[in-house]
Amino acid sequence: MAISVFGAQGTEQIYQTGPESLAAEAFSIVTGPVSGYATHILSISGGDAPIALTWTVSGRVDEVRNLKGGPKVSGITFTRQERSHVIPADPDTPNWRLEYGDLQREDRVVVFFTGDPEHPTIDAIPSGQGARDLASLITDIVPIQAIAGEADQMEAWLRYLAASRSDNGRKAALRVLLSLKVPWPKLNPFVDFLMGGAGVSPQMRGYVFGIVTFAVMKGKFETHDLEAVEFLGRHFVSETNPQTALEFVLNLKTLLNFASQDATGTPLASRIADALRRRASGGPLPPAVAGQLREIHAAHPGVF
Amino acid sequence: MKATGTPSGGTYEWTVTGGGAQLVDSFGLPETKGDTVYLASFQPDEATGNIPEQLANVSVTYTHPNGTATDSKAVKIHKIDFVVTNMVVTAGVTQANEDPLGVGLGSTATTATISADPKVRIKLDASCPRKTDCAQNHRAGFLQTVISNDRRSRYTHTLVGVTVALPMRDQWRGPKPFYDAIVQFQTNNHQVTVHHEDSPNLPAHWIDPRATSPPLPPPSPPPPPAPPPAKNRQLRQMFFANEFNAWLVVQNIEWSNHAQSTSFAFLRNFKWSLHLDVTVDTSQPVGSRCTPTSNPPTVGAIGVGKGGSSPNLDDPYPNHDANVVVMAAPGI
Repeated sequence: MAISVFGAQGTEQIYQTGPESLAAEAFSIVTGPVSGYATHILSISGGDAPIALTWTVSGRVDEVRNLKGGPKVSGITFTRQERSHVIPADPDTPNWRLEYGDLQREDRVVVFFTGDPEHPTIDAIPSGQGARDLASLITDIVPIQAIAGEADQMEAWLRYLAASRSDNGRKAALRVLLSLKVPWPKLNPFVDFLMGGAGVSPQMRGYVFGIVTFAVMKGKFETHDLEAVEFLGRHFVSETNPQTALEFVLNLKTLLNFASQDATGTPLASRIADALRRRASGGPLPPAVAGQLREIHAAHPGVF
Repeated sequence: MKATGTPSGGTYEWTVTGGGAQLVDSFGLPETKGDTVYLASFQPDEATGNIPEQLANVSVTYTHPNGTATDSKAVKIHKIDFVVTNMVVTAGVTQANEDPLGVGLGSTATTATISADPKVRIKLDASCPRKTDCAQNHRAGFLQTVISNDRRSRYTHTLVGVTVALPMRDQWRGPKPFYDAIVQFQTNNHQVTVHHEDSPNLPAHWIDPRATSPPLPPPSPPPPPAPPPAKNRQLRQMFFANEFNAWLVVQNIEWSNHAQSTSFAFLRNFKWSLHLDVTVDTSQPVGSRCTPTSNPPTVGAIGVGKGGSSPNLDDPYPNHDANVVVMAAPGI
């Protein structure tokens, strides 16, 4: 029923859009601390202890730092709509925006100017610390987007994928590289490193696994899809985090159902089944993973 | 259908029987007069989802001061078959996704709670005289109805509930009354893939939203008791269950302009549900606060045709018309 904040959009959407999409669209981007922070309540919940459900936040950016485009005057004012996490997200709001949450008094904002420069659409998105540091992410990716020529840009994104210590940076690089049709042999060593690299979060490994699965189903790797599936199988077999292993096997289940539609998918299905068998025979399994393997076996008795 | 009365100057009165047929004007509105009327019929078989051949008898009476004439004709309305393949529902999980701000009971980050990508091929009868127009008058999609709903988050002194009027039509991106994107057939024998996925989610912050909500205009309600004890204002329990009926359908576009509720051929149906209630201990590290951590959804057998229930096609849908109720509650 998609009555949600997280996962408000489809699983495919997380592999196709991110902050880099808005950065590419914007003719100017600035950042700075917020002053004049104010909220205006639009609606409240029912019940005897009501809370705000929707509100607007307005503010001003006086100390502007340019991230893209020409000089901006100071004193940029903005208004943004916010909503409580307890009500469903707008289905048109991309997931990545939700990750930056509501604007807090102490936050900075990154302000994107899009559309007609004479009458721009002003889009202010919170930027905080750590995973919410949108300003640093935009600072990193704008110079890469400015590189002319797809081949040079692809190389720059690959270097960024290897060098970035931010999950959101790595995810942006992966999305763009897929859109640039990066060949699997070129991408393979980078994602292999991410899957085994110290300091790479389980969430990031899940994302890498998911985007490679997505790319195989979309035919992005052309004649190299078997190699990509072998990559998936290898990392599923060696994954030790139970929750991540569950996410991997669910991706493989989706991929197996996809590959089993007709005879053209038989080699893929065979590689997936091989990985499932290796994991099943490799010792004790987390209960949720074991349950998934039983279900897959029941649905594909001739394959696995 | 056109009648020509002679001598001219008279009036025409049309009737039709059989085949579930109607006489309409060029806009699809009911019409029984004039020298030209159009025959419309859409009689899908609810048990199979196909549209069987029908036979209609059309009669016209021409009345003129000089006298009255009648004529009638039997008209065959051709059949349409829809061939469905790959109707497999892939079940993911509902799990506790914890982060520093709170927890969402929902799917994993990269797989939906349920998803399906059936293929539907339209097969027009050889006698169809306008195959491309006929194919393009049909589009495939999913309908989904919420049958039951339990969404509650319990804090030490607060209960947050999200309710909907049941049964309620479900919609993600639409268009109404569809759940998600629809796909139009282009030619005879055209095969389309119809995507369906759902990842219901119940989010909650670790801290009571009564303590963090932007302040309401006076008289604002009092906040919940602050710590100590440390458990005050903390998330303690979540209750999450939903049940749905879903249908893979083909809609007759022209018919839907005037009679939406009867414009569907129901190809497949299934029931599915999810259930994950968790207890929460915020004294534990993020990542291990919720117990249990996950539960797979239950997906019923895929049925052919409409099945035993009917979709709700009304306007309201949960993402737009849910009610949020926040109540002060006894301390736990």
